[in-house]
Amino acid sequence: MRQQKRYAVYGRAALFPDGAEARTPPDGAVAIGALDREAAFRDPPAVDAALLQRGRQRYEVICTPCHGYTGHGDGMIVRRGFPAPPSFHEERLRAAPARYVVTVITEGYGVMYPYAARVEPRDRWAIAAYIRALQLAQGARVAGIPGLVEKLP
Amino acid sequence: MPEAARGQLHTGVHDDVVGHAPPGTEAPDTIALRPILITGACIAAFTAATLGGLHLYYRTEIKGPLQQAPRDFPEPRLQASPARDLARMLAEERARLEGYGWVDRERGIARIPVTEAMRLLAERGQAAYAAPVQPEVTPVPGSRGGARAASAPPDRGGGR
Repeated sequence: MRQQKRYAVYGRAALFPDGAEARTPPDGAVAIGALDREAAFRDPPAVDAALLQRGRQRYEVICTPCHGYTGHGDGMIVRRGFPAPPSFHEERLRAAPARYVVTVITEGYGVMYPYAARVEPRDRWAIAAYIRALQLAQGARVAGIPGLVEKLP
Repeated sequence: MPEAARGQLHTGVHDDVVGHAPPGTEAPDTIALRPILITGACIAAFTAATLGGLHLYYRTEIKGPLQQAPRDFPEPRLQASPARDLARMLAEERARLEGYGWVDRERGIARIPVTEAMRLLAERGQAAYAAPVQPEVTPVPGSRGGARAASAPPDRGGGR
């Protein structure tokens, strides 16, 4: 396999007009699936139980080491000395739109690196929806939910 | 009867099964409890005193002038049992995630199970993405907005 007729990386290539082995894609080239990913990033998917369940599963796999299961930013590696991320239950993030969460997952923020390579755009929206569920679960207005008062201790 | 003659006289009936105890030297009918108790008490007292002495001897430490008292390091410390720490953390987070409870009774804010919250959000449809605090404000990139002070638990501040 090592001995074959091919150009070396960054080598000279007489075949092409510019004499370079490395080719750039032609103008207007689009990677396979890029348009779908862009659309999935742009348009939020419909929220249903399956999406929230998917968001919960992805959140608990990917986000909990730092953000914690409740989203207070007290995951295990934070308890072991890693810088603490902001809590999802502070006013600033309770007022942030869901697209902001998706953007942060895509581009990273602070010491959080971009997760675009390992979280699909649809899953980012699912995680954003699940974070909304966490915010509701940890800060529910008693007046807004009928029948809640009886269940509280 | 002179003392030396005891045992020489075979006046009584001797039973071979019992033995050849000379007459007049039969064991008394009652056991004298007092000397046995005194001996036992002495043994017990001696054992206790020895154990106590050894305990003191081994536990006593004499501090040298360069010796320092053991100190606690600030958190986070080395984990003696990582699995136990993780299990404890999971248990407390699950409890916060799945129970009902008051967060702020005066303002009427409570905690509900996250499965219940997911069910409520699924009913709302697209409005589930809306922020719980309206109007929505996109945070300015590059500012944490005082996030550290609000999010970091106070007892885990050391060691960063």
